[in-house]
Amino acid sequence: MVACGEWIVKEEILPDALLREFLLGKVGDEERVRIESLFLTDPEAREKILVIEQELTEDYLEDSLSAEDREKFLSRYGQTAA
Amino acid sequence: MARDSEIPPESFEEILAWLNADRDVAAAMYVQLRHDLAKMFTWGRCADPEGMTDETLDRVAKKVHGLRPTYQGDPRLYFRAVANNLIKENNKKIKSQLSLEGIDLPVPTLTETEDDTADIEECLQQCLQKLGTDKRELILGYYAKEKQAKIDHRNELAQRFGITLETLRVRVFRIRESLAECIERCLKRKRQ
Repeated sequence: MVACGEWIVKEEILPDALLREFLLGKVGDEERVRIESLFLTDPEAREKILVIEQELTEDYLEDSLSAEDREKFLSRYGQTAA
Repeated sequence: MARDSEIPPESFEEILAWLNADRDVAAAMYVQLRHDLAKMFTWGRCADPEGMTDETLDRVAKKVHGLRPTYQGDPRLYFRAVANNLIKENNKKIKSQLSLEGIDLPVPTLTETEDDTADIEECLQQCLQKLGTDKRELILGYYAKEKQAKIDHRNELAQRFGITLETLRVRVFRIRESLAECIERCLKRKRQ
């Protein structure tokens, strides 16, 4: 269970918008390494990334991604999304 | 297309000890790490996340004995770095080798012999078998016809698998990548 304060901290370190960009492969190498490192070592960060990934998948299924994001999403998750 | 990890038991134990002094905690961390690395490979658009996770663990296993006494920081970050290198290697390989359009085999060089060609053929057959029926039928079907017949056939395939043409193309692309990796690993084993 994550305390409310911890989510606030994570929001500052890992804003939702940034995580969506990360999951769509739109961030630079330095940022990617930082997020991947948090994913592997910080349970709250990991949980948050997986939640955002789930939201992204739902947006894809609801067809609410932009054409560019849809293409990026498919190139990453195409094998399992359909 | 996961393959069995080849980590010797003593290296596996050393990895666990490196992750955490408590073996039960370490075992849980190892399972989590496997899952997370596979996820990272998916994000890295790798065709075979499970296989590449195994390769990452194998590579770390080969170095863990020397690394452990001197490594500073969270060991999981070392696994991440190895995984990252593997993604880079994989991307380079994909750019430089195998064009499987039409399931082309790796082009034999002037120094390759008939045995090499036979090895490539054998590896292709083995890797096709490992794909599983659906994927094998899909990729062989995708490249089976010529021109208009090919277009019609792809429409039929998409219908048969209940997916769009766009998804069909993505699936075939990923299967091709995975086949290429499998063939290369197979050839490497044969040439060792």
